[in-house]
Amino acid sequence: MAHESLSDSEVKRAFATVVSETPELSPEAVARFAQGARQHQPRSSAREVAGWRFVGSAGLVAATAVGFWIGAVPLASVELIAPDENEAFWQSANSGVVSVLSEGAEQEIENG
Amino acid sequence: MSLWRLKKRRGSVRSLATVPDEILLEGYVAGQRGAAEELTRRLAPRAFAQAWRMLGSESDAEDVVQEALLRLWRAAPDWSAGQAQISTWLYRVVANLCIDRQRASRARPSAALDDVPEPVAPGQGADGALDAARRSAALQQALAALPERQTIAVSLRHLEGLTLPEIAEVMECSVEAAESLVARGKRGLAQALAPRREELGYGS
Repeated sequence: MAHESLSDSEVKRAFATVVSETPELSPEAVARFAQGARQHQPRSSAREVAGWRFVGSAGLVAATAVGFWIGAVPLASVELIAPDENEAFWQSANSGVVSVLSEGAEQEIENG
Repeated sequence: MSLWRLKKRRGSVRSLATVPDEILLEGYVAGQRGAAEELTRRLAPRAFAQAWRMLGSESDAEDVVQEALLRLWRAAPDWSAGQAQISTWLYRVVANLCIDRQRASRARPSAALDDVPEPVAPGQGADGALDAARRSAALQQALAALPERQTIAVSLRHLEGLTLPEIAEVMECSVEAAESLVARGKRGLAQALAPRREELGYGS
C-alpha cells in the first residue's frame, strides 16, 4: 500500500518536535569541558603571559605615578578619549597590557 | 593610563559575553582562563544540541562535544583571523564526528521505533495523542537513513536554523548545492516518514 508523503507543514512540525525535545547540556558537563580547555592550554602561552604580567606590573607602577601627577584632570575629559572597552582590552591581549587585567592585577588595583 | 581606564577595562573582563568568539580564542591562546570558559559556555550547548539531534543519545552527544572542543583547543594556536567562523568550524567538526558514529552504529542494529518508551504522562485531552518522543525518534531515524550529506544539510537547515550560505560554508560547497541537498533530504524524509503517519500523530 502506497503511503501519502508527509506535507511540508507536517515535516516542519516533526522538526519542531525534535528541537523542543532536545535535552540541555548539564552545567557539570560544561564545567568538565572548560576544565579540558585549561588542560590543553598551550604552555608557551603561559610563559608569554608570565612575561606580560611582569611588563604589566611595571606598567601599573608607572600608571600609578602618572595618575598622581595628572590627578586633577577631570574624568569627563578622560572619557572623551576612552576607546571602546572591549576593543581596547582585546587589542592589548598580545601586547602585554593585558597582564594588568589578570586576577592578580585586579586584586592589586583593588588593594590600591 | 588612568585608574579610571583600568577600571573600565577591568569591567570589560567581566562582560566577555559581548566579545566575539574569534577574540576569545585568541585570549585562550594568550592564556586568558576566562576566555576558554566563556567560549565553552557559548559553544558547548550548541554543539551538544547539534550532536544530540543527529545521534539521539545524550552520552554519545557529550562524547562528540568533548572531542570537538578538544580539536578546537588543539587548533587554537594555528587559528588566524579571516578563517571560517569558529561556530561554523565547530558545526563541521560535530557533523563529521556524528557521521562517523552513525557509520559505526550502522553495523549494529539500531533501536526500533517500538523500543521508544511510552510517555509517563500521556496526553492532555484529545490533542494529547501527539507523542513527541516517538515523533522525535522517528525523525532522527529517518534523518540518519538519508545519504550523509543530505543528513547534515537538513539538520543544519531545519534543526540548527543555519542559512543556506552558512550551510554551504560548513559543507564546503556552493549555496546552490546546499539548497539542493536540503531540498532532496527533506523530500526523502517526507517519503520515509509516510508509512509512520499514524504513529507520528498525523492521522491516516
